[in-house]
This record gives sequence, C-alpha cells and structure tokens, in this order.
Amino acid sequence: MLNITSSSIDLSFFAIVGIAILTMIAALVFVLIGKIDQVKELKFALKKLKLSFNSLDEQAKLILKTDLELNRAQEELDKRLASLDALQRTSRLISTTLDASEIFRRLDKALMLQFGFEQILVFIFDAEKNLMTRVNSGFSENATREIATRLLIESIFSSLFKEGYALSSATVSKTKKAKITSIFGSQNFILSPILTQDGTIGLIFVGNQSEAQSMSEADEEMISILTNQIGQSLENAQLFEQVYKSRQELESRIQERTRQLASALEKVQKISRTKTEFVSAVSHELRTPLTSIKGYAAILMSGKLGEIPDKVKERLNKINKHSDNLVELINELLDISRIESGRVDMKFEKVAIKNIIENARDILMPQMKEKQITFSTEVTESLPDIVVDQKQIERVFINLLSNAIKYTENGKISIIASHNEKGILVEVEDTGSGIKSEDLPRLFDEFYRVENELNQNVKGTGLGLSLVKHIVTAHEGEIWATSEIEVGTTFHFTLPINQKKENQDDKNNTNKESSES
Amino acid sequence: MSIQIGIGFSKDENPFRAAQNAAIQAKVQAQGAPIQLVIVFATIHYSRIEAIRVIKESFPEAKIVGCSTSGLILSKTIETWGISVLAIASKEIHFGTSCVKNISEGKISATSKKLVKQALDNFGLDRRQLSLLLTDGLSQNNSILLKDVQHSLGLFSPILGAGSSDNFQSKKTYQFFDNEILTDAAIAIIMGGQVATGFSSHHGWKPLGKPRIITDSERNIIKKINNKKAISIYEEFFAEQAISLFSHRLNRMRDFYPLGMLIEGQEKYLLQQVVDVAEDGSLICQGEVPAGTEVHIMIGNKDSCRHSTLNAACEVKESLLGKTPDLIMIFESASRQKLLGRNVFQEIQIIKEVLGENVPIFGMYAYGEFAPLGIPEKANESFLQNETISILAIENHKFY
Repeated sequence: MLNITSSSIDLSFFAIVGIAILTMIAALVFVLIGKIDQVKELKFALKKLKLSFNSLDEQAKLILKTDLELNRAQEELDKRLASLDALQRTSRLISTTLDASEIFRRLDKALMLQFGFEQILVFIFDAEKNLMTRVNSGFSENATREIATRLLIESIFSSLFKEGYALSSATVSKTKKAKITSIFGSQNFILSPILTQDGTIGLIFVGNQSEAQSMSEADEEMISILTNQIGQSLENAQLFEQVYKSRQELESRIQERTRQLASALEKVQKISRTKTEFVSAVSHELRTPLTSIKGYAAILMSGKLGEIPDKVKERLNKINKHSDNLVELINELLDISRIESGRVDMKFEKVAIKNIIENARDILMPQMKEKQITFSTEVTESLPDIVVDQKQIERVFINLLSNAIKYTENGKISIIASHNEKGILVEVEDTGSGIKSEDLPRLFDEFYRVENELNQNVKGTGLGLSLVKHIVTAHEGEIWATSEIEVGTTFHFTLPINQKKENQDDKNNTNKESSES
Repeated sequence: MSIQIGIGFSKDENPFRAAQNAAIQAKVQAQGAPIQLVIVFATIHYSRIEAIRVIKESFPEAKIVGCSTSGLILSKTIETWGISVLAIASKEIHFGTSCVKNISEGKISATSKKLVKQALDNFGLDRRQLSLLLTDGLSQNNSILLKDVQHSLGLFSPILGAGSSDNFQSKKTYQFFDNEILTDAAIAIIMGGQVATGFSSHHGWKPLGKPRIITDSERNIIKKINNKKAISIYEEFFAEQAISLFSHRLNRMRDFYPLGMLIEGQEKYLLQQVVDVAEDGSLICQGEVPAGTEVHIMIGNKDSCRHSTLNAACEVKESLLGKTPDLIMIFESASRQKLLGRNVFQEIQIIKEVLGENVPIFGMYAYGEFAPLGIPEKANESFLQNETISILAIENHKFY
C-alpha cells in the first residue's frame, strides 16, 4: 500500500514537473519568438539609422558644395571690393600732387600698404631710353640693375613696351611664367606698362612670393587701371613742370623787359625834358629879337624915320607878316612846352560848353563867311557844366575850327556836343578834303603836316593839333580823328565833367611851384 | 588705478621708425609708470631686429616678448601692416618670462621643462594666475610642447596663447624675446599676483555628416579614418576637388572645413586644421590627433563666427563677475581673419559692446591658438586649437 502510494506520488510529481517543463519550454519559445522579432526590429532600426546617416552625409555633401561656392564668391567679392577701395585711395593719393617724386613716394607706400604687395618696382625711361628705378621695395640694387637690363633685352617683354599689354602670373603661359619668375624671383606677379599720350614711359612690377597671395585676372585689370592713372598723373606733373618753368622764364623775361623799358622811358623822359627846356629857352631867346624886328619894322613903316618907297613898304609888310607867323609859332611852341612840363597856369572853373563853342564861333565866323561855310552846333540840352580852363578849351575849339576852315571850301562845319561814359564828347565835323587813313596816326605829332596839294598852299606851323592834344590830355580827356577823302574829317574829343581833385591839386601845386620858381 | 596700460601702433613704412613710434605711444599712454612687461606683435614686414632693438631701448627695464602675426587687433582698428606694442605697469601684478630655441629639434619634454623652469625662476614665488605661451606657429611640435608645459605647470593655472603667423605665407614666423628676434622658438609668460583673469575660447563651427572614427594616427598625422585613407573623409564630400582645394592658393579646406574632434570629457568640438596632405593620403594637422577619436568635417560662416565671439565675450564677463577689465587680449585664428574678410572688425565691436567700449584691446591673428576647451571653472586643460577666438580679460584685483 505504502509502495503503491509512493509510486502514485512519484508519478504525479513527474507529471507536474513534466508539465512545468513543458510550460517553461513553451514560454521560452514564446520569449524566443518575441526576441527574434525584436532583433528583426532592431536590425530594421539600425538599417534605418544607417540610411539616415548616409542621407545625412549626402545632405552634408550638398551643403558643403553650396558653401564652397558661396565662399568662393564671397572671397572674390571681398577681394574685388578691397582692391577697388585700394585703387580709389591710391588714385586719390597720386592725383593730388603734381610733383613726380612725391607721386612715386606715395605710390610705393600705397602699393605696400593698400594693396599689400611684397615686391614693388617702378622703372621710368630716361632720355637715353635706359630704365631708371624710381620705386624699389624688396630688391637689392644689383638685382634691380640686372632686372632693368633683362627687361630691355628679353623678347617676352616686347609686348609690354611695344603694345602696352600687361603680363601677369594669372594669364601668361607656363614657360613665360617660369622665365619671369626666374628674373624677378616671384611666383605671383603683374607687370604693367605706364602709358601716356607719348607711349610707354616705363613699367610697374608688383609681386608676392607667397602662393597664398597669388594674382588673379582681376588683380591684373586693377593694376592696369592704376598704371593708367600713374601715367596721367606723371603727365600732369610733367605738364605742370613745363608750365611752371615757362612761367618762371616768362616772368624773368617780363622783369628784364620792364627794366629795359623803364630805363628807356627814363631816357625818353629825360630827352623830352631837355627838349622842352631847350624849346622853351630858345623860344624865349627868339621872341626878344623878334619883338625888336617887329618894332623896327613898324617904326620904318610908320614913316617916322622918313618916307619910304612903296617897294620897301611892301617888303616891310612881309617882314611884319612873317614876324607874326614866327611869333605865333614861338607862342605855340612855348605853350606846348609849358603844358608838357606842367608849367601852364590852368584855371579850372565851371563853365557851360555851349558858351565856349559860341565864343569860338564868334571869333571865326568872319572867316567862315568869307569861305561860304555853313556852321551849325548841336549841344545836348541836359549837358552839365564842366570844370575846365575855359581859355585853353576855347583854344582847342579855335584851333580845330581854324583847321576845318582851312581845308573846307563852300562846305559845312558842325560842332556836336553830347554825353558819353567819360563825360562829354565833342565832335568837330567838316566836309573838307579829308585825310588819308595812313596820316591819321601822326596827325597830332609836333610839326607833322599832311603832304597834299592844299597844304603846299595853306600855311601852318604843324603845331596846332599837337597843342590841342596837349590841352585835352591836360584835362584828362582823349582826342582822335576820323576821316574820309573827299567826304570830310571829324575830330572827336572827350572831357570829364569834373577834374579829379588830386589832379587839380597836383596841377595847382605844380603851377604854384613853377610860378614861385 | 594700480595698473597702467599703454598701447602703441604704427605702420610707418620704415620698421625702425614704426617700432619707435609705437613704443613712444605706449610709453606716453602708460603715463611714465615703470613698465614690467612689453608685448610686441608685428606683421611679417615689421618683424625686424632693428624694430625689436629700438623697443628694448625704449623699455630697458621691461621684459620684452612677442611674435609675428598676420594681423594686429586693436581697439579701433585691425591692421595687416604694422607693429603694435603693449606696455603693462603694475606693482601688484608680476610676470615671469622665458624663452627656448629650436623647439622642432631634440626632446620636446626637455625643451618644455627648461622653458617652465626658467619662467618660474624669473617669476618668483608669488601666486600664479595664468600663463601665456607664444610659439612658432609653423612648428609641428606645438601640441606636445603645450601638453608638456601644462604637465610641468599643473592644471590649476590655465595656459593661453598662440602660434606666430606670417601673413599666410607659411614660410617663416618670428618670436621676439628681450632684444632678440628668433624663429622656431617658444616663449612663456607666467602672470600672477593681485590679478583677476577671465577667459573663454569659442569657434562657432558645427559638425556635418555622420561621425567617423580615427582608426590610425601618429601624433599630428591622421593616417586612417574608418579604416580608409584619411583623405577619404574629404574625398567623400568634395570628390576629386579635395586635393586641388588643399593645394589651392587660399587652402580653402584648411580655413573653411577643419576637422572637429570630440575629446573625452570635453563638451565642445576641438577644431583641427589640415595643414597638409601627405602622398599616401594622410592628413597632417597642427595638433595631436589620437586614434579612436570621433571626427567630423566642420562648417562655419561669418555669422557663426560672430556668434561665437559674442559667446566668448559673455563668458569672460561672467567669469569677471560683470566687472570691467583693465585689458583685453585676443588670440584669434588667422583663418577667421580670412573668413570674415572686410567684416573682421565686427568681432571687436561685439567684444567692446559686451566688455566695455573703452577697455584697451591688444591681440593678434595666429596659426593655432592655445586655450582650454571648456569654461574655466570646469576644466583648465589647454589644447592647441584652430579657427577659434580666445579672449583673455585682465583685471587688477585686490584680494582682501
């Protein structure tokens, strides 16, 4: 019984264990199936993650390419802007001076500081077509001399000088680049001719040894623009120097000429003074014996010393008449010399021009009537009184009218007085024989008489018009003549309305001094 | 004020006259105070012995350090020609300087130990705040040198600085020490005393595409990425243009698409420029490139540059607790100068807006910048980075 019981217990125990094991196995299978699913999911997730990473890389590639392009563009833009700024500053610097040495000095500084070039050379041709160094940064003197020689003999530089093209490491062929590098020792360079209207006057070299600062086509363009500016500035400086030199030369010539003229004027004035003094002295000396001659002739003619035959009387009349002519000549000479020397006693007073004209007309009317000359006057009504020496201005009118009467037959003489900007303008117009245009400039010269048939018959001293000019000039006026042959002659003269006070004072003082002396 | 700052600048075409003018300006601005430290930055054209000597003559008692640069950063301008002089006078701030030559030869560890020892001897026993390191930017040992110097100085004082540059010629750069002009040299400046500093370094570049792993490398050379030749990372993106873009005059790849590496324990990507491509397709970087590092091609633009400058300036302000500094020094990548082009001064305007309009600014464009990656409180370990702007603000701080 006990055995049966124990075996039943064993059986049920094994059954339970078996069931438990089976359950566990089943559970494990379920778990395993679940894990397998999870692994599958994880694998899928990992695959997705890898895909995401890869697409991240693909996106990154796109971003980097775009960024690279943007950086390139930005870099180029920055460089261009910086170069333009440097160009503008440098152009301003070199165009604000007209001194060639200063242009080179500023250029050296600007190319170094503004553009950042490490090596700079500027050569200019001298008169013998040798290249002379004007700017040198980064080269020894020996190297500069060697470069200058090579520039002239190497064929690769011919386009530079002959055609005016720039050469740069950005555009030349590899062979040329190697050659130029061997000469200048720079991998990165620009060589640009300096051009003016006369052609190539020199060249500029800029270089950088570092590959990080290589040249682009934009740099080449920039330097070409700059060299054009340099050419213009140097041309301006040269022109300025030429103008400056010419001006200096001209100024020294003017000074020399002025000195010569002043000296000549002094001599002329001295001669004129001597002449005036001489004429005055001689006239005075002549007048005394003339008075005696006239006096004796008059006594003889009066018959107080006995009756004289008619033939003698006739001769005495001639002596008297010629003596009068001589006295008139001497008086006029004396008047001219007095006016010239300022010793004439001018009495300025306010008078109406109309009155002066009338006085002159009254004196000369008989002569005009005799020659059947029509006389007219035309005086502007509003003409103010003028301050003049009435007696002297009357002489002007008398002389001009006498002159007109002399050369007019059955014609017309008119006097017109009007306003002009200098005071009053008087015109004495006749319808006489007229004067040749070539004689007009000398009309007022002393002793000048126009050579014509009429003058051979009409007597005159040749001093009348000269005296007129002296009187008008002494009144601060001007006189000139216009004429047409067979039509007539007009004498024009101006007189200021008021004499300048200082002139009056000066004149009065002069008169006073001379009268005192 | 117990700190006097004088900054002079000149671009007179004669380097001697330019240096003389800049030194006089700095002296005048420092109001005749006894100058302790003079830092000189000069573009390649002004990196001449006569220029350095005349500066030494102007400041015979001062410690003179400096280097050549692709551009001078100043408060009112950024110049690609000229020489700038910073003169610092303070009774509370102390400086220790040293210089080692031939950093590309011999054992770097010995060189860096010598550099640190001399600087510490020169500095004395005062409290150290920060160190500056100026090295030849063309040396391939700068990353290791920095690491060794850091190891010797300890992580509690950060190292900032830069590699000297030469106006993108990549031929020869110069370091100035006392009255000497050197090449292939490193200069260390230890600063300490009553001085508070704030600094930050940012780049603004973002990773592009899927991450890749450096599978084989040696110091600064990446041999394989994802088990393929290293250049393939660029070839995949730029196809056949890749090589030509590296050899292009502007080396666009180097400047615009650096590699970004995620360094263990750091939050930001460390940027490394590819300075050259070897014949076998290996990429030669400036800094160390350990195998196993995740690497990306990075992309940035002017806007991201400006944004990173703003971030750096704000972090500096925060670390100075909002105080206005007495001096701002900037070490910035020459590639950023190129990328920003005509807008380069906008970064300075941003810095002035954040840190103060009238704070004197003195900086340079470098081939590689030394700065910690994270913010100062978290990590002081400095790295040789590229494409970054590092801002260092100095304030004469009284400790009570």
